[in-house]
Amino acid sequence: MDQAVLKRNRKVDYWAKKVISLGGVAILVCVIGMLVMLVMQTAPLFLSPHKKELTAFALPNGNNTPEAVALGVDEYLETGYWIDSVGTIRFLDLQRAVETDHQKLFSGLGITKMRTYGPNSFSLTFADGSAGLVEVTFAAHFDENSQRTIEHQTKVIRQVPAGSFSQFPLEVLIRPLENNGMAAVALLPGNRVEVWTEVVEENFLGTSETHSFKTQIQTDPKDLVTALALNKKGDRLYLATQNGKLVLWNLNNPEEPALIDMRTAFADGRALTSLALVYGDESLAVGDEKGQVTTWFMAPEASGSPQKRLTLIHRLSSHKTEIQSLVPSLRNKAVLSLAAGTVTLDHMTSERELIRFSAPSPIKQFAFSTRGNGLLGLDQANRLTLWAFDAPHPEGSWMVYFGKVHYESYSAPDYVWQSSAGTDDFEPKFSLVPLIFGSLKGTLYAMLFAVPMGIFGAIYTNQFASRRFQTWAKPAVEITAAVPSVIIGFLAALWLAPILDRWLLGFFLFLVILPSLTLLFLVYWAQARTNKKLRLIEQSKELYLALPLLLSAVLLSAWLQPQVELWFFGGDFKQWLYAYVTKDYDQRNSIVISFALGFMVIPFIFTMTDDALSSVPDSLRAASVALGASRWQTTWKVLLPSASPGLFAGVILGMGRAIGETMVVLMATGNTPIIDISLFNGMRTLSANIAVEIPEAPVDGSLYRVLFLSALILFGFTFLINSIAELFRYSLRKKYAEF
Amino acid sequence: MMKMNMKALALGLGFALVAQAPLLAETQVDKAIPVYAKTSGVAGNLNSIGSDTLNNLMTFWAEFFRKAYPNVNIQIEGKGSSTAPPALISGTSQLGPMSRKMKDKEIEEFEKKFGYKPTAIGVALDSLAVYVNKDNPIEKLSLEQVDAIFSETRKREYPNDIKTWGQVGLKGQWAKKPISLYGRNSASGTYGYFKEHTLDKGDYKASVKEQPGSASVVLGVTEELGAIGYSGIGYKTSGVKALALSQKGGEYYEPTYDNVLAGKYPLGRMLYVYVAKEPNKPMDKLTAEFLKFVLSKEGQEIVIKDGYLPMTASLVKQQLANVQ
Repeated sequence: MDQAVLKRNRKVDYWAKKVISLGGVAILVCVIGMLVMLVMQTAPLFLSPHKKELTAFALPNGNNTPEAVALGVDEYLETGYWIDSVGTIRFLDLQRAVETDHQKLFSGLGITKMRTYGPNSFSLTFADGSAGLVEVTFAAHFDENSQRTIEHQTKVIRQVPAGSFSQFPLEVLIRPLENNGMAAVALLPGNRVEVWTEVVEENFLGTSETHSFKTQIQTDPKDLVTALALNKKGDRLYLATQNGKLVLWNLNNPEEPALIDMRTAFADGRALTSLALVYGDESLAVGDEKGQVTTWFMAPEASGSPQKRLTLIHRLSSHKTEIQSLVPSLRNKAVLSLAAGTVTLDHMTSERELIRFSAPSPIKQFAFSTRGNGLLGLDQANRLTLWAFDAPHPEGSWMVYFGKVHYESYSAPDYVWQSSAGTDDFEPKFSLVPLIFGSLKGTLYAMLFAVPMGIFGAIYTNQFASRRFQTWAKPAVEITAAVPSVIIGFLAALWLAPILDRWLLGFFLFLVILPSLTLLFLVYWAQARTNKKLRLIEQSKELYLALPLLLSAVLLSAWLQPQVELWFFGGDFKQWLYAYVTKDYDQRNSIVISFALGFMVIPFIFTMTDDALSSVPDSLRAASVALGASRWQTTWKVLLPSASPGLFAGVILGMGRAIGETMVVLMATGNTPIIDISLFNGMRTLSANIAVEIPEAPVDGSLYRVLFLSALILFGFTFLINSIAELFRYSLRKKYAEF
Repeated sequence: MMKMNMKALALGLGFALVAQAPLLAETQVDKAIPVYAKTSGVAGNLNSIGSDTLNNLMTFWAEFFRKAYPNVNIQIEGKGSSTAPPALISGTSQLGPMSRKMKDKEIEEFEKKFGYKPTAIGVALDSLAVYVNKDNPIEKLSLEQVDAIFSETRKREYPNDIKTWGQVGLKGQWAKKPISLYGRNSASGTYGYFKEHTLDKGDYKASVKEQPGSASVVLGVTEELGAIGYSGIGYKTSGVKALALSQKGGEYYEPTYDNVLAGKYPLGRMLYVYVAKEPNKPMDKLTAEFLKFVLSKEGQEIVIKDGYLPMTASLVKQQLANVQ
């Protein structure tokens, strides 16, 4: 050959090889890059939170003024304040360690007791027997140059006048009610508890009437009340006692408090020392003398029983000594606990201990910031220390993602996916189990339909059909792979689902009628084929017999549906289903998914099977036919065993496609995260879940990262499945390399 | 790809709906609301990303606004209220329509970026409606029953779970018919609002079918006899029926304009557009003019046309104060 041409060919070969290798390497890099990206986005979920000391200084005037009874800090961790025992509130600039402002609260009465409900809100009890609810607010203001200054404001929200209770109260808890009403609970000497409620009713003329109620809560005089907690609405009162009793009262009716539950919290009767309501007022955090922090809420004692009792739900950190104080976060379900100078921050749902530390000198007072991002502590030596917390994803743990968790207000531990709500006090539920289950369920049902259709279709087309049929059948099937999945999903949801709903019984009848009709026909055909002319149909024209058969099965099922429904199912098949089979029949069910998703997968299985059959060397086929085997025998005994790795590869590849398919399941199922294999209801798959929830997930938030975790799992699934398929294909190629 | 399709579908359905809007045909815009006064020098691009409930409404407003100012280009995307804050924060949109108020966490994120809190402008009223199929004989439900139908947790303390129509008093062939639940996806503000105000912050059942848009919820209820769903009143069609609701054993109220204004219908709410407005500085002129247009007589007439409820003159005055 011409040297120049050869040279040019070599050059082209050389460059083609380079470009192709480059493409291959690029794909590999992309896949690995994707994996690295997924891992990087997921990893912060599992990093342990940490704290940082921002500043520490001696309390200005700390030694010359009365003792601090309360401490607070703003959400920006810039301004701190403390309230002393004579009722002065002093504001501090934490960065410069100086006092910026002070004012007297309630004309400087001595404070005997302070209770906090979350940050910056204090119930103060005064020496003269009165009490007040004080709230400190911080507002950011901006000047013309958009510089931020933080202004503080101290507001007395409610005041209980002296003499409201029958004795001098030791401690008062106040909650504001609507229209300037309030509920106040007082612990009086002699272990008595009194509730004072002021209900204000406004009428349309703009005048208001005030009703006051004073009632006594029954207590055991021998069992000292050690802690009280009142919810925000002021209608649930929790008491903890020396003998380890946990008591819950309903204050809905201000004249007649009703006991909801009273129980000994722990079998060993240990004293309870501290109570706090976890953000959302659903769960109660309890600290005891042995240093254990637990959370409780009203749940059925045994599963299914209607009787609800206070039930121990989560066990959080344990300390060596009694719990002195518990403070909830006002951003999530975290609880801060203090015992003998050690501070721990736990998240209730995940039961993770987020942060634990002890200051060099034991902390006696502390304030948790509103955003839960910092802690201001005052130690025995009157030193103030400010810590910043960094716990971006407290609500996640392996147990949350893959285990059963007893969520607030649920009757039992369960796998639940419900990631968001319109309120902040929501407990996010991040169980990936229903989603993984949904993905597998969808795939299973899709394969049930697609595998027989794809494989038998390919066998018929490849081995039995006429050349003419072959030439258009294969491209036609392959073209269906190009139909956008959104269209299939749309049709399945709005067209197929209602039709199937209407003809549900007919569908099941069809499943019985088609095989029996075929069988009957074959019996008849065994007779008929003795006629030589009729037998010509067997020469690749079986389709003309099969189609009328199929059509008559469809028509027969449709015709039979009303009759059978009347005879066997009392006139309504779905009622019957509902009564005897499943209580969760749904229009968007797995049958619809089976068809829609199966339709997506069939082209893969069909093409792979067809290719595998074609790649079986002709010599094998010719040998089989030459030995007198029929077409069916050749296909079944010779071709299929040889092509089986290709078949498997096709099935597995189709599976990989089905598991990752998004649009069809997104649109055709109701995206219901249920764990139920039933044919009659839907599912929520990993992929659809990502598509549904990623637009609303705040970037770098917990939901965002959990979605990436589910993406990583999905990636793992498809990677594994595709690798298996590739292995099969490789073995097929190796097997016939010799021919 | 899918987004586009869904949007086109929702839009198509929306246009179909405007023609009907039967319930509120007689509602009139408060006469005290001033006519929109056109100014000069309004041009540029506006992006709106957020609520699906407000999607059609935003589209109509934008269309009419463009008639007044041909040099204005407005793009609207409505996938759910929860998509509004991230878009405002990242600067991809200037308008953040939301069918619920921003959560503290979202405000915090916003503040981290801008240094100030976002401004909420109320633009319309809505009576979040509970829909059933038009052939369903039920006329009214109590919120406690609705909670027991939709919720896993039953925070309103209805004694038992409701799974069939018989349990809410229907007889005959309806008695054993299962209730099929339709709802919105979690990005939706309507999802959050319904969860907070009807389920009393409880959880939805896992069997609630989550639909990507309000139109799909209504369509689902139209297609299935035993279905129940919720979405804004603007999406009502002739295929569904909005139920009268009662609260705490009180009287039942239809989701009408009067009942919402009087605060009698338990699920009346305001719809918002969030904007980033720097304190002590005037709002960007294009955004301000758009909001003024929305809060004008013309803007509120569009609200009625789309099936929602218009603001009253005093509400408009309050909201306009935030625009200045």
